[in-house]
Amino acid sequence: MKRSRWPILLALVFLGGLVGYPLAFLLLQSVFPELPAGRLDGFMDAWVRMGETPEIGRLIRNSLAWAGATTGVSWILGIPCGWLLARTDLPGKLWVRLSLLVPIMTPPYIAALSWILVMQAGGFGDLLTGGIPEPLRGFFFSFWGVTLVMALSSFGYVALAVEAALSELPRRFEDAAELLGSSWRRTFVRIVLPLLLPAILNSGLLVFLDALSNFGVPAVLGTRSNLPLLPAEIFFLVTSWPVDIALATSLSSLLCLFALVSLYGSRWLGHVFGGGAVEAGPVRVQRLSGMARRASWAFVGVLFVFSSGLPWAAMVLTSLARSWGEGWPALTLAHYGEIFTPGSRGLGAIWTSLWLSVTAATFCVVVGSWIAWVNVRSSGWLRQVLEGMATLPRVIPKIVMAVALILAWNAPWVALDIYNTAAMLLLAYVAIYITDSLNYANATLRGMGENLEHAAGILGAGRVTVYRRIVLPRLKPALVAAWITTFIVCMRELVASLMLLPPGTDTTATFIFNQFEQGDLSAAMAMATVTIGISTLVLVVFTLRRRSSPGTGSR
Amino acid sequence: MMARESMSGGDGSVFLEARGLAKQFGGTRVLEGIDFRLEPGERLVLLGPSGCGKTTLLNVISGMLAADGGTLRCEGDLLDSAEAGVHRPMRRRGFAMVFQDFALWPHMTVAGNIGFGLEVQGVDRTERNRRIGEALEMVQMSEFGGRKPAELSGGQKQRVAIARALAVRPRLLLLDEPLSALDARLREDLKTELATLLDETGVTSVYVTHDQSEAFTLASRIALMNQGRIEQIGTPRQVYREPATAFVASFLGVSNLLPAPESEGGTLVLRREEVSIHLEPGEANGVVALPGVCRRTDFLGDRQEAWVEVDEGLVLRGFGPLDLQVGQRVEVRYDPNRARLLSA
Amino acid sequence: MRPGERLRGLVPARGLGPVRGLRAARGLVVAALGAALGAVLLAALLAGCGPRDRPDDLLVVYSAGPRGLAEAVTEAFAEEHGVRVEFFAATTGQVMARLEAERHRPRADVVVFASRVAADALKEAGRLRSYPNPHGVDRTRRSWHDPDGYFHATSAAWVGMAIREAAWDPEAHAELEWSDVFLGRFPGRVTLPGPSRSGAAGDFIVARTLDLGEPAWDEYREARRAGLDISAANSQAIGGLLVGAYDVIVGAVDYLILARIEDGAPIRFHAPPSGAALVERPVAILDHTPVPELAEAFVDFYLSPEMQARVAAVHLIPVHLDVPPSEIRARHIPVEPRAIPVDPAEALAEQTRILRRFQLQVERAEVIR
Ligand SMILES: Nc1ncnc2c1ncn2[C@@H]1O[C@H](COP(=O)(O)OP(=O)(O)OP(=O)(O)O)[C@@H](O)[C@H]1O
Ligand SMILES: [Mg+2]
Repeated sequence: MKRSRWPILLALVFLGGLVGYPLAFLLLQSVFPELPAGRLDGFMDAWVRMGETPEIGRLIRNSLAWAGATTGVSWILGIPCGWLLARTDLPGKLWVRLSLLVPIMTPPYIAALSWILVMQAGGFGDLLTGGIPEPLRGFFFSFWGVTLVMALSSFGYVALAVEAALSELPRRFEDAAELLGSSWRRTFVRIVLPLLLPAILNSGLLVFLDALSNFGVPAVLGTRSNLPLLPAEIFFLVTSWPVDIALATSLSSLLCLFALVSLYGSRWLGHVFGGGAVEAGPVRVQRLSGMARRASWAFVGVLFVFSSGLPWAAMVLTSLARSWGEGWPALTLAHYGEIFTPGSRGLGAIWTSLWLSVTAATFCVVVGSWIAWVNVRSSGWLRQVLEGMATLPRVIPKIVMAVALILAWNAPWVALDIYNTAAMLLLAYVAIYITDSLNYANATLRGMGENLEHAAGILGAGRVTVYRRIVLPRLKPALVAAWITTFIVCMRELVASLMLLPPGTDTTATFIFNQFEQGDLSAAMAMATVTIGISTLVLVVFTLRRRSSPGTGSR
Repeated sequence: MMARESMSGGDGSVFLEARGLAKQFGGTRVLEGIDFRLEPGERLVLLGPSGCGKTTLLNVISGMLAADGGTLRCEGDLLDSAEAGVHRPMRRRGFAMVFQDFALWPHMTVAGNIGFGLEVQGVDRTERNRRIGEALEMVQMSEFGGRKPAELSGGQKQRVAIARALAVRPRLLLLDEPLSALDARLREDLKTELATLLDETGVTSVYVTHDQSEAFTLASRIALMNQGRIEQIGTPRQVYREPATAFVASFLGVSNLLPAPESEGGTLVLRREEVSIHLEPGEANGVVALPGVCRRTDFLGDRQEAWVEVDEGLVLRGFGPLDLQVGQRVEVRYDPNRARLLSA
Repeated sequence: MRPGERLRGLVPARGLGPVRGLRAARGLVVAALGAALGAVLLAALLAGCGPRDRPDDLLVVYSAGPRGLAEAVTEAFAEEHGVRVEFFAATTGQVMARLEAERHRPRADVVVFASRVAADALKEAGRLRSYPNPHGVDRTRRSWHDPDGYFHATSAAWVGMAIREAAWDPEAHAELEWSDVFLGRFPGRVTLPGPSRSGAAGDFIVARTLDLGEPAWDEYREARRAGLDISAANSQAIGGLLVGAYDVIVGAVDYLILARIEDGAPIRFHAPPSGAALVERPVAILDHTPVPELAEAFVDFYLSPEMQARVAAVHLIPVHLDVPPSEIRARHIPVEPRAIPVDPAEALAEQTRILRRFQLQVERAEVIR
């Protein structure tokens, strides 16, 4: 059966317009700064300027070192957690897993803000302990402090990935080594670690890319902690004065380059040192002694306190604080009242975020699953292009995507006036997050034979019918998960929202950030609490519904 | 060759000794009262139906599991004794194992897999390489040292797994259904090859299988297991010819189990091949001859197996001529001396 | 299914999918081609069409703070002229950034800055439209306007220091100088609104740097080493001052401080004897505007005594000579401070370089303490 080519072409045009066109334009403009004006002068101007500014070299080194350190710390914190979950008889694992999810649910910039509240002079830390030692404060507002804040909000990914890999890594590999006389340590280093490498590298890559492109944490903590980083620089180059869009585009291109290099680097490492896919089997479970059990709980507990407990407490308390000054603040619900006052900026921000996130998530899931289907059921070089283009948004830093979208949709030849409207933000959300839906759908589709579809095709069902009646229902559980994921990440998306926001509109994230910049931390934290509350609510509702509806819950 | 010098010599010295080994999982007893002795160079095959506890016993021997009761000694060393609270960890037993699914480390090359155990033993690089080469040659895989396990066929993987286990010159080699993941044809070839190889190395080994032809080919002694117990232990001939229990008799080969005469009690075992079926009645010189009706035949190529009803409800299986037909009246003959009486 | 699995499904799957090795890698490389393909397709699709026409009763105003004042003025203007006003309020830096991003697709008709230097920069870039004689311009302080009529001050403010009363020592601090604060008189207790956001702070930094020359940079660096904190914007700095996180704001705009003093905050405004920076708040018309008459009417409107009264009400210095400053201002800044002398031509030539250098070497620099 020869397939028609138009679905894959359509998918290509869609992704090309959404992702390819802005990025191509960004790359071109970094080389030809006057491109939008239709001139080719100033060739490589910005790159030259970049080379001539020593501070930029410092920025780049800082960014790489910081992202690397964050990844390292996440590994140090996450791998033991993963091991405890997968390979020990630690009681209360459900709670441990939840305690890993909570920091993932907390946007890093909110965690960073909360940490400022804890650590700043006269903050909660001082109130609780009667004065944090200055060296500790100094440590917090430094490279390693900022690293720790970021790592605390991302080690959960490492832990969950390592747990997944470890709980499928059959014990015979370890038994075989141990029978040959290998010590526990040697077995771990020579056998377990290399087999875990794909999981470690993949999760590390995510953390690294996230840190490399993270704007919120350095924007909140960077200046104070004396840690200038690349994404913040790009942001300021584009959004504050003196504006230097050309330099921003070349820095963005550089950031892209780093991202791609780390992607291929980690794939290469995994290929060379890892063992490829391993068939799952029964695993070895370590019995913990009472002592070890207590120590493990202490480890997890301390991590939870630092990653969630303390920041959340600071967040909620601040959102309830009447006034700031000496000692514990008096409590009030006034800040929530302000947010929920009809017609207020806060309520407007919540509505904007909600409808944007719902629309973006729905769009991503619908279009993403369709593209994934087209991709899985086609072959040839067009498919490779499609696959590559679909991977791009996940790798390209969000801030770069935002800059690219600004340029692309502000170009003089664009007929649609969507810059300066909320549609621009919608476009950005879809462009940035469609890969998640694609991945979720892909995973299910790959495991699902084509025969089911052929069976329907033989009965005379058309393409659309096959998709709607056969493919979609099978995909449903994956799509629900993709929808929730996309919804949650859109609700908290900061940097693209800040840059693409039309005048006078706020999302919850920009509201929080603006209130922080205006110095109104109570309002910022009230909104942060509301946002996290909404995300958690959506998560819980869907989880409960999924649990109660049999047949769709198994994945 | 590969085996240790001290192990050679079949003078009745005990190499491995199990006494009353027992193992429970939760409340269920998976092993109970396991006793056996193994002489140096011997190859014990654990044979039994699925779920009878073969793997569990092997794992207890290897040290992967600790026994709940009984003792296990190797060359006089106490390896396991639940009563004395002794459990020597598997890495200090000096055994090696070949796993059912090979368990080759996928991230190492073939040579790396084989060399790992030597590395652990602290064998230096040149000696290691020499011994890796030797082991590869032994299993006829010399060209494959640089490959990764994913690039090998099933049979090749199994050879590497065997080479990996033998390369360290283990005191005792444990094999858990090493051929069962292979297809029938390959299994047949590898079976003889493995027997030859193990004979050449002279290594003492314990081999788990549920395939009796494998057991017969490979075993110097067979331990027949059922429901966590050893029903009988002996040479292949002994267990086949002189089954100690009805279970053994029915598990090995095909036997007719008949109720013994009232006076003696117990069960009468009569192997299928001892029963011959004839179309014409013949002289009965010392042979039992019973008339019957053929109820079913099964064509086997060179002969036919037949089920003959000799008495109301009493059916005997035996071999008969190729022109035997269902419904024919026939005569069944057997030598009563070949029938074994098992007391109840 | 173990519970963890269910939870795991809900974690944002930031996975790049299974590592599919070189095949996907080749795909990504080819994706560059695909991107170009997409670009060409889209460009072809959209080429030739310019931005849409705008209705002629719509005025787009981008304005730097204070938001309340800007809102009040635009609303009053919309009402009086029966037109619609689209309005974007932000800091001077953000307004400039937006203008830059929209250079090839302009939208704004009128901009209001909190910085003369910003307006100068736009004038220099040829992006402003001259309006030599706004209605009633004679009754305003002409020296604050652009001599060529490209922009007109709507008001002005002084940039000095704000100090907590608790930290203020009338004897020791009467003659408090910029250098004292920069060189560590209040270590770890000083903040400066980020010049890349706050136009006023930007003007102050430009003025001081030009005034002092190279030694100014040593001062800034020394200040950072002594723990100078750069706030995101004026309000964050003031918030920090009120909470007690800081004792001093350098580069504080007076009208914001006066508003807080009016609310009873225990802080004061201080202009160092060597001079404070005078920051005019110019309004300008962009040269491409499709509604020049409406834009000019807006400028006239802003300079009218009624609107100038509103300017005075938020404690800015009105540009109109007939409108008196607010009572709080008259009480707290009774005499005009000395102004740091600035040569406008030099400021224009140097400002980008200075501000950029300030960002790289001070504001966002990693300072070795
Ligand atoms: N970890 C365990 N927990 C509980 N029961 C177990 C465990 N391992 C094995 N069993 C039970 O112990 C019995 C013996 O298992 P074992 O694996 O030793 O059987 P086997 O003889 O090797 O069977 P097969 O030929 O199928 O491999 C089985 O009934 C099995 O269900
Ligand atoms: Mg078994």
